[in-house]
Amino acid sequence: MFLFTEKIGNSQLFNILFIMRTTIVISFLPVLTTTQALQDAWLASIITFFLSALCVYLIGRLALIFPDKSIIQYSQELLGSWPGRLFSLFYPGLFLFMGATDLRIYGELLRSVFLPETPLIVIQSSIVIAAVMVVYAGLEPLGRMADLIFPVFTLSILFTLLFPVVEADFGNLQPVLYNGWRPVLFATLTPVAIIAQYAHLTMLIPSVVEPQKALRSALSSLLWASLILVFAALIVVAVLGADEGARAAFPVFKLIRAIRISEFLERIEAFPTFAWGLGLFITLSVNLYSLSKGLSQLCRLKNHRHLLLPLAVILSTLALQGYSDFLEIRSFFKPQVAAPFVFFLLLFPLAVLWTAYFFKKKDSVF
Amino acid sequence: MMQKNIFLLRLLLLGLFLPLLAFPTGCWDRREPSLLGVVTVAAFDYNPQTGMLQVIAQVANPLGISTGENSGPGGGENPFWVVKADGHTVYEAIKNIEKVSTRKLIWSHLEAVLFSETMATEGLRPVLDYIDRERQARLIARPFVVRGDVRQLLESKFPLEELGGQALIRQLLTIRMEDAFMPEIDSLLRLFHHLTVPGVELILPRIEMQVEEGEDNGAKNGGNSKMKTGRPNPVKISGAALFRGDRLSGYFDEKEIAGYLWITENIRRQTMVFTCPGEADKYLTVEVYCSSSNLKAEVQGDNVRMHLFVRAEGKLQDFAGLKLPLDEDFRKSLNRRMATVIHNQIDTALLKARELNLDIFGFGYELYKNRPQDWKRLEEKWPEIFSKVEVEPNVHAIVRCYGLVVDPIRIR
Repeated sequence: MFLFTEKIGNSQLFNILFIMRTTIVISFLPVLTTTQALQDAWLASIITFFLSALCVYLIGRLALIFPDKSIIQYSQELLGSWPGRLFSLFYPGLFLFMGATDLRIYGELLRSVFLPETPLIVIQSSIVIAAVMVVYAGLEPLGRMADLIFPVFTLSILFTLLFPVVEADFGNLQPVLYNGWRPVLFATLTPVAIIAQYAHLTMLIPSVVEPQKALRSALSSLLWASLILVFAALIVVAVLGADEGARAAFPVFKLIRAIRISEFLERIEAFPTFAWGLGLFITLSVNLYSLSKGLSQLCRLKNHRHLLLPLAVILSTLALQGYSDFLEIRSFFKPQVAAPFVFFLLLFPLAVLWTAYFFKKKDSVF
Repeated sequence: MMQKNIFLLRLLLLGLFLPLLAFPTGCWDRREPSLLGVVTVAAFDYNPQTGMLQVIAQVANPLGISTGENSGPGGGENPFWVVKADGHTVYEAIKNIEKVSTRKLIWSHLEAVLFSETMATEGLRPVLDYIDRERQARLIARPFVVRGDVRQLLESKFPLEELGGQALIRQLLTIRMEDAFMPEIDSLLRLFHHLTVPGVELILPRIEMQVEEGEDNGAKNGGNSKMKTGRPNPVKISGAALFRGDRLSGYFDEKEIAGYLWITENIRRQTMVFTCPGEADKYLTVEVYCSSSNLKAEVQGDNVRMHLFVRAEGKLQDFAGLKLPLDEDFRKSLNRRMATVIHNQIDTALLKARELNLDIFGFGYELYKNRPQDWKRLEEKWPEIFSKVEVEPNVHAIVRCYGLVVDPIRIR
């Protein structure tokens, strides 16, 4: 019962995590927009990598101790049946919340730039339906979708970030640390909080072909996504300037709309929109998969697919009702709000589980 | 069981996607291109009497734009339509335009944004915020300040171009590539940048109307009359408008703008005319084709000194004298005269900027970027310090090419 019969390769795990992490980078570039790091956003991005890697290690290492079990299962093993279930509720909650927020941000972009009159529900449901379809088909098709999307996604991102180089003025990056380290460190909080996406490792590791290498795949996906984050922060500031970038609702988008590559090649915002749409599809699918799989294990259901449609409806509703407008999303991502909230959901259960593990280890149960 | 599920799923998908086939045949918002008016140039004016903003839009007229050999500019309909409306805000004015327009205006193909003198004096903020916020507008449009009647400019017809927006941009590009008459700010993005970074004031290219006396330009002339072949271009892009914050504070003429371009390393080409050696009534032309400048700040207490290193390479374009001296003295004197011209241009620009107390060169920004600690200390009192900043230009000019012949033609 509850065996993870579907398997994905380590490279597919890498693709999934890379796409998920990078999608957030191109959505609203939190290192730049959430605080006043301004031209030092690239520095904040580098620090973000190290702090995030620590979080990923904490999540991944614990998952690797139980390579064939999900967090729902090993938390019951560590804490006992009921307390374990209670603590493992945190993560499905996190998945639901993350999925809804990602979905809403994408909806807001399309609403503010392309489709001002289309109801959000139409924009959102179109992508939710696609996500439900792929999760219904199973984790393996999801992995293959990630394989398929990865090159297109990466190329689109690279085009998005490389085209504007012609208009970049790297003098905009000076002076370094004008306002000291404080705003820079503060700016790392939200992007590090978004590392909650790697909580999916706790649901995906049992399905990975070589679980022992999963942490390595996760960390290398983080490294590559962070490189893109650093590059995006550099380019946005070099082209738009720190102030314009930080004020923008969607900086990467503003960047691509503000450049003229040549007289005949301009208006190339299809690239980031395309990448973002594809990235969101994978993000949403993985969220739905982990959510439905987690809940089905919690409720001891045999097939997680039965939960998919109701969960998709709940997720879409949460995306619609959770925020009244984009300003509310923006205020949520302020470090003083997002960081405590997400860190609590992410790290509190993890801390409890690690403690329980060490106690049990001391009593040499393992 | 599984088979049945898959069948049901497929049926569901078919039901979902089949209706979608009905949509791809038209625009998503039912606004067909034939219902849209494309705005190519937008001008913003301010009426001090009413306190209202005025938006004047030049809308491309698809019926008037020539498509074949038989229909040239002026050969039928006017290629554009100029429309104006007032409002308390930019958006209100735009909506008021739509009250008198048969088509919905779209602003995503805006090529140039013009500010009238009164608008610029009143402050650009309301217009800039609209452009920054509006989803259709793009920061690639080119900003100008217009001296003269901005509406008349929009109604003008240009000799070689059909649409005013296109014409302005081509004129701007030509000038940028060929001479040193206007500042380098060629997009709203750069305008935003200049307004938001510390230690630099905004400078924008200036357009002046030049209508010949007794000659009425543009629409008033009637779309049907053929353009006179000798008619001048209705506008001249030269010089610059200087701003304090977002408000117009003065102008730079052509000589001053050249000085500005030398200081900020934005010279591409510049033409200089000198008298021929030994023949005071004959002239020679040198064109600067390659140049670089470098600004270094030196700070001692509240004294700021800027070291400016300029290097310019020129080529002899024509020589009206009888004999081109090939000796070293001539070459040295030519180089020296080039350097003096550059020096003078820099001094003129500095003098005017000091008079107006406007740091348009970005000396403060230079300190902010490279000596942030000094800038923190000096930022508050920068307006006082700027007028006393000593600039030491060190100009190295050299003529490198003398053309395809050595001596001028020997006429018997």
